[in-house]
Amino acid sequence: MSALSVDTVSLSFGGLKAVDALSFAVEPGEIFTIIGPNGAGKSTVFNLICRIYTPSQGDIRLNGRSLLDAKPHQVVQRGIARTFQNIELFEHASLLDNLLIGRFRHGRFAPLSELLFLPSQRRQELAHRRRAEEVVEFLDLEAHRHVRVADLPYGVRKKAELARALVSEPKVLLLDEPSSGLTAEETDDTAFAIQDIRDDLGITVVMIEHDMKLVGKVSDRVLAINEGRFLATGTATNVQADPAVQAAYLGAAA
Amino acid sequence: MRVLFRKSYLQDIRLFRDGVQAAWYGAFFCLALSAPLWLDGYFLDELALVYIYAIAGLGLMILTGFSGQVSFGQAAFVAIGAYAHTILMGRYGLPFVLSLPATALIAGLAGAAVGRICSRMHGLYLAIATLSVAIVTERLLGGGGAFTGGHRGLPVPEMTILGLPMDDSWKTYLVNLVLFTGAILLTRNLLRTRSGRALIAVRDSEVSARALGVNVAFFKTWAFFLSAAFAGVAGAMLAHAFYYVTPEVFGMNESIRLLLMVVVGGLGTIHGAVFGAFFIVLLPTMLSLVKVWLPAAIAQSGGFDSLVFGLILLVFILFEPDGLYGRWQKIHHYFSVFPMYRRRSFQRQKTFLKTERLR
Repeated sequence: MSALSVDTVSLSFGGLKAVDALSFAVEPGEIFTIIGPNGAGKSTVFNLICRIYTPSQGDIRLNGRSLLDAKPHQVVQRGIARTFQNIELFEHASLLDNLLIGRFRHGRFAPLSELLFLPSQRRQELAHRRRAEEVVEFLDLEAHRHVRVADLPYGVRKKAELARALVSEPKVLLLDEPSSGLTAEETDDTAFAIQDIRDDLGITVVMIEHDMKLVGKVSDRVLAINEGRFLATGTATNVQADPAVQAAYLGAAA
Repeated sequence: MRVLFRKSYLQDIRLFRDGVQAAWYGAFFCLALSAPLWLDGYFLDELALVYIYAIAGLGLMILTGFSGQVSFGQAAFVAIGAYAHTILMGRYGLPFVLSLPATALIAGLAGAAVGRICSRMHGLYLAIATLSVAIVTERLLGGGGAFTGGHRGLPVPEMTILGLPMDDSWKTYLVNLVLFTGAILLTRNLLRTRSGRALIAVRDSEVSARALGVNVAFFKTWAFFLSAAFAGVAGAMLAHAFYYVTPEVFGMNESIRLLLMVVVGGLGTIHGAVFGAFFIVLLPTMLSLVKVWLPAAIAQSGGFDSLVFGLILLVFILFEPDGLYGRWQKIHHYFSVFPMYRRRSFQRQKTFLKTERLR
């Protein structure tokens, strides 16, 4: 069974068809990349999966179970975590606090025990901290733990957002342009991190990416879309060689 | 400058950073506890009033400072607290120790109701909605007939705790000190647990809060509940301090004063609420001391207090948006790294990349 399957999904904003009968399936343990020119509807696909938008047609399934009955805040409960294209961290909190918020789905609302800080809370806090520290170590963020996110350099913030998604222990990780704004060296680091996330943590990765070098290096399969429609799927080289994809990026040959 | 070496996760969870900090706060608490010994009645009452305002301020800090929802309606919940407490004690004869938690619950539920209705509002719209709550509450209390005593108000029954009459300044002072300390502890605990972090997540980015599993509407309502419950307790204690409750005491002006208090104190910090309370309660006293030295034409004119108050606010918003606590941190930092301090040390890095926010 596919880890994540998008089944003939459509979404329109007024007259504009942002996503048009798009289908694809991501297998468990795969690194799956979505490419496409600006405005192709890539981020919209992510927002559909995260239930920020509701598709006008079609179904989105996680391990065979439809996601459409989940509210946006319940998606992470089902095992999907995401990052954002332009970093949506909690700016005025420390990196560590950001990661602890990432642990949110593993806790329960217990107002009295929280307000009185009962021993059970202390135990939970310690357990969450331990999990957060594993991710800190995994992504080499030790030096920045106690720094307020607003004061961190861009590359570190990008990594911090990845870390925050990881502490929630997802089954499927959605990365929206993980290398945008990064230096060549940081992009290489990101490539290794993505591979490690799949190989060591066993998380299925779906990403949107423009840097074809990175795409070629890490992806098992690539999906190209344009104007919300399916163009091609296959390995990175195959998709790049596809005439429909080239036409979408460069304009059709005269 | 002291550098903290962390050896255990508990160090980030404990109430105090290290022994030095614990000793400082311990000393402050002892100072506050011993105040009845070295302060006379008038100033003792003033200090108790500072604590009461600080409790309301902490509530507003939870709402505005931590969960990022501007509220011009805090005085409404203070009023609900004051009236609920007065009516529960005076009309239904509930003892103080039962009436106070009941009051917190009543005010909290009122707050939660407002919070649930406003949970989709942001910024200016939320400010207007909460402002209207303040106005409506004042009107309702004024028009409540015999139940609320109308515009004439209600007398507040004597405070007796478990049969002991609290008939002296020092006794009420200590009650207020205990409640104030309790309010600080509750807020601190909230901030170091899951719900508190959820509030901060809602404040800084609703989109990613939601993506991480935070039910935004629920936690906004929870913030309103807590904030109103704190305000309710403050209202109950205020009623005892004034001996008489009337709707005018808790009008719109009071709401604005409370909001100014947390802004001048420093938004987003517990210290800010406390510093702001000192500022707002003691300023009129300070002004009356200064007035003696001013020519009568200025000192006697009606708007003098408001003018000074407004000017101070203006100065804070222009030159120290981080409030009194922010200024204190800068001064502290200046001396702890002397002579290495730079003006840039606290300058915020501007973020130029911001997602078009999905609301």
